[in-house]
Amino acid sequence: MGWQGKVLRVDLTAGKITPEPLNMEWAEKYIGQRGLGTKYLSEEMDPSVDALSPENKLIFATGPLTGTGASTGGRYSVITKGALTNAIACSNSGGQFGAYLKLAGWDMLILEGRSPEPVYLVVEDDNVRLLPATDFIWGETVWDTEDKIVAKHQNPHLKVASIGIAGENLCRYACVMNDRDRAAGRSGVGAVMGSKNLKAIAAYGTVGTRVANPEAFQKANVAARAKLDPSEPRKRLSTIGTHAMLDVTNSYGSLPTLNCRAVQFDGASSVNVKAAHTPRRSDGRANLQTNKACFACSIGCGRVASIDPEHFSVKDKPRYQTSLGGLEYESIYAVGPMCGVDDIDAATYASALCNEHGMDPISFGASVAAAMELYDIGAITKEDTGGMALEFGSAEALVWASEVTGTATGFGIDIGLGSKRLCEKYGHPDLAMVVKGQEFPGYDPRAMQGMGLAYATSNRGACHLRASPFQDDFAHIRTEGKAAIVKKSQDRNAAWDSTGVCLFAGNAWEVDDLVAQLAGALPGDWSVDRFFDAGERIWNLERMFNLRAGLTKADDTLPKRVMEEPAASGAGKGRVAELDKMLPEYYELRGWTPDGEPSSQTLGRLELT
Amino acid sequence: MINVGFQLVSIDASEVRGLGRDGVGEIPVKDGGSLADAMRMVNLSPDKPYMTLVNGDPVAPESREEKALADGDQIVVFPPIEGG
Repeated sequence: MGWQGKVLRVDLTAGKITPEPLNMEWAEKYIGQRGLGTKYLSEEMDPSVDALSPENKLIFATGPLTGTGASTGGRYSVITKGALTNAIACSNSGGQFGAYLKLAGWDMLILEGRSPEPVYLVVEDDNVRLLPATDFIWGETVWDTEDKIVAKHQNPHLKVASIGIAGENLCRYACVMNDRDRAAGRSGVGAVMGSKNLKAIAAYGTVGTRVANPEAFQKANVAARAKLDPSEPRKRLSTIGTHAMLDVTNSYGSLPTLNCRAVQFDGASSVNVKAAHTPRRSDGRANLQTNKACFACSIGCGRVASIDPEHFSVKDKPRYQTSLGGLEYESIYAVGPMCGVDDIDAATYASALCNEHGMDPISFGASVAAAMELYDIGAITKEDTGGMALEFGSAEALVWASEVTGTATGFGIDIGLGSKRLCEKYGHPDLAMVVKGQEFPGYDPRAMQGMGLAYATSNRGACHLRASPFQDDFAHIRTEGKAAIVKKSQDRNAAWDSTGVCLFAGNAWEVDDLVAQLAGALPGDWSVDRFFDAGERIWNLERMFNLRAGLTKADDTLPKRVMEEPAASGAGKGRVAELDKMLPEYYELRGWTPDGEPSSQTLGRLELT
Repeated sequence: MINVGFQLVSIDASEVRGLGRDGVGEIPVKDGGSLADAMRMVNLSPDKPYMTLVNGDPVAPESREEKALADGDQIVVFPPIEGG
């Protein structure tokens, strides 16, 4: 009920596939998806293992509302130890794949070991098999992999999650991609999949899903839909998308620019929403073509774009002169302002190549920005790049970087290390704009103090989705009160990400709108308090995983640049990120020791002992 | 009367008054007028959860009625947007 009650365990080393029942005691406490996947990972493996070793496990987990028809209920997560961060990784994706995996009758896939040869997994209800990928899809792009699997199995309804060439080559921020341009994007989960010689998982299901109390579920679902559909956030996300954030952060002075040397971008009007909507001279079309939605979603924040066919990036390349996944805020921030690039077609091309080759555009763009700064100060030369002038603002350099990184060619292998390893290699570790090895999303913490705390304490490294301090940050440049806002929203998001529903629905719903749907779908009593308790338990479980992996309080920090170099303009002008004023209070609110470890009392309260 | 600059960012300007279609313009406000007065002048409810800046500094929703404007002030309003 809600849960399918079934887990599929795949031993890639032995080629053995074993169904087993879902641990219902854990499901009751950790809900599903992010929480339940983390529980399985924590129980089954030593967090100190090498992320790219066969001892690491890779879990694909759906939530109890995935595939049920709940609004936006098509999500799944990939949970593992991150190749980018060496910390807990949990990357969440939409599209259709997660729902189809659930409809095939499975709550979760647990992938273990390493296949001796490249393989892919096909899940059609109970008919599950591992098949050879060599001379078929190994070495292929994400897009070609999907097309070839669907054609070979003659099932147009198969939904595919795969890695691209970046993942095969262990690019540290490789994604797991599904449905062409949806991504479990962060922390290098695709590199872990590549290390296991697993190219793809294809799913198709006819089992369906069931809920515990259909009448209550339907009533809650209809009410939530009636609230979401006419809401302003839904309309905004549908029409102008997350891309709209760029004008906001640029106005506010929290748009990371030139590897965080600046917080506002002079070229913003060339890469903002208006630019994406403006028809171009060459063919009269705009960059933004239309929007699209994931499974059971009425928001439709996904972008479909086209690149100017006369642009140098796609000239004589018909493959890219068609509709492509378009720019979202985090991707345009990273490949645009962060690199100083004001060319919307080059940005769209780089973003599309991230999809095609399976790379996180946030980490890719920020890694290119770090490389550009290394080039700017002379730490990297044309000798290193093979002749490319890797200058800030160069659209040619961005386009080149997306090609060589996606295909793991030449200097692209270095860019694929991620900012932290790249900057360490070239002798300037302070130039990596990362937390726990993961690159910043598009919010500079000097004007957004709460976001700084959220980055520093995020269990998976710098992230804008682990907490929601946005509204307070855009209203108050202060440190007071941020710890409580960050802590509460971290717990909320941890639970929300465990249900199978998209965080964006939370722009219109209150927590009780979601809990009402959970209560209809699942047995037992579900309340807002239970929801937050589960979220806090999940957050602390992730923290314990990281501590066991060897992370410490010292990893709850921000780059020196944002803590020592004041913002030059914007609402935060003259300010630095004042983490030291917030972190002790945060630890105290969490019930952690001053060293950032959950106290025995906290662990006991959360039933984590 | 004083004149203040007004800019809507990522907000549909079709239902506002006194600004261009791009959500940008200059509006007159009475002497001693507040940010909330200016928002009402363009048909934006100060009670809605918009984010507001005056000359680049954030003004919290609870301070809009008290925030006095001066001639030439630049107001920016954007929605309570969250990232993704």
